Amino acid sequence: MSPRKPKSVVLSYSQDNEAINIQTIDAMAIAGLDATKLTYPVFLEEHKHNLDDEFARKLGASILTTLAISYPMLEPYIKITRQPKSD
Amino acid sequence: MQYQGHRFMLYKRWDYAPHGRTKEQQEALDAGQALFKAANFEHWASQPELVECIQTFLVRAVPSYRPSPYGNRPRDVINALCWEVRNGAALIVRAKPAYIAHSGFAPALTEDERYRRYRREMADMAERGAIFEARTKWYQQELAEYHQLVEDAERAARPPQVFRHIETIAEAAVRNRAAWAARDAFAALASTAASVVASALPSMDHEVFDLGNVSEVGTGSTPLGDAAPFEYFRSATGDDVLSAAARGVGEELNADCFYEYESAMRTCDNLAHLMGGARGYALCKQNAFEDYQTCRGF
Repeated sequence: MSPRKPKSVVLSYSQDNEAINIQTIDAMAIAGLDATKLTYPVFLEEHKHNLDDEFARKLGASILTTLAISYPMLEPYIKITRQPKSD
Repeated sequence: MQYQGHRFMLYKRWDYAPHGRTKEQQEALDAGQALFKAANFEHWASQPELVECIQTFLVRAVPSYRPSPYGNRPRDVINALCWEVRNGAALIVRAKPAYIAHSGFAPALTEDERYRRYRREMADMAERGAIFEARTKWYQQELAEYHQLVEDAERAARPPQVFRHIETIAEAAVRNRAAWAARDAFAALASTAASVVASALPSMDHEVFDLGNVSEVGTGSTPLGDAAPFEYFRSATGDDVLSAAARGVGEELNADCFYEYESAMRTCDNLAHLMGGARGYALCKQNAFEDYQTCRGF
């Protein structure tokens, strides 16, 4: 059952309990936020609308490393394979 | 010498803590002895840099040591060292992590190594400098382009206003003259010469009227066409409203903005690397740049 209002997913890291928090928030609230929001659109078309394991892996890796830019203490825990840029 | 993450150094017996050793020094010495006991001398001899180091030490520390009589092969050098260590003239000591040799007997780095490290550091610095310069250049260029853009926009926006101003004066003059002419026309009409005067009326189409024809009726001696042409141009200091607004941002804030911008660009690069997608990357960078401009007050 989907919520009545569309939600966005927000990832944050809390240093106190060393947890990556996955939060959902009103999509409208984010759109209306007057703050610096860096957006990197991942176009499904460029992935042939094929959201498979590999896509999930890339997405996960992207999110983790992006989080680690703000929280360098995460860096040593990240053990993902960093593929050489293919495209 | 680098073993198991520790650096070891060679000392002449009387150079190392001659007046009694601290616990730490004794430990360092024990570690050195353990190293010596466990050493694979073939392995030592197989490292030219190490052999060279040892030879330098021997030449300086042992007066009786002459490279040639003992032979110059790596194994001979190692053997000579073994002899000196076994008879107690030389000591192997584990170095503290950041220990700097106080004398030349146990060079922490050979000149060659030091030079190479220096070169590496210089190259690194030069590279960083180049990157910084390129970025600064790009940034300045981009700023210049932006100023050009603002200037063009200003130029496009202002002149009509200026011309409109001239038009108003001209129009007033025309209107004035038309009024006089009309009065004259009435007079002429009264004197039945209407058609002649009416054809002499200036064109009221102010899109095309010729300034040279306009003169203020009344004084009749100051045609507007004689006025020196003037045009709006930006003052050299650039302290007109638009750029003043842009410059209201302090240097510090600017630096913060630039830092944020760099971080954002790094995020974009990272995502492009892991996620791919040329369009997304381009949009991300554009987004970052827009945020940067907003931050700087543009």
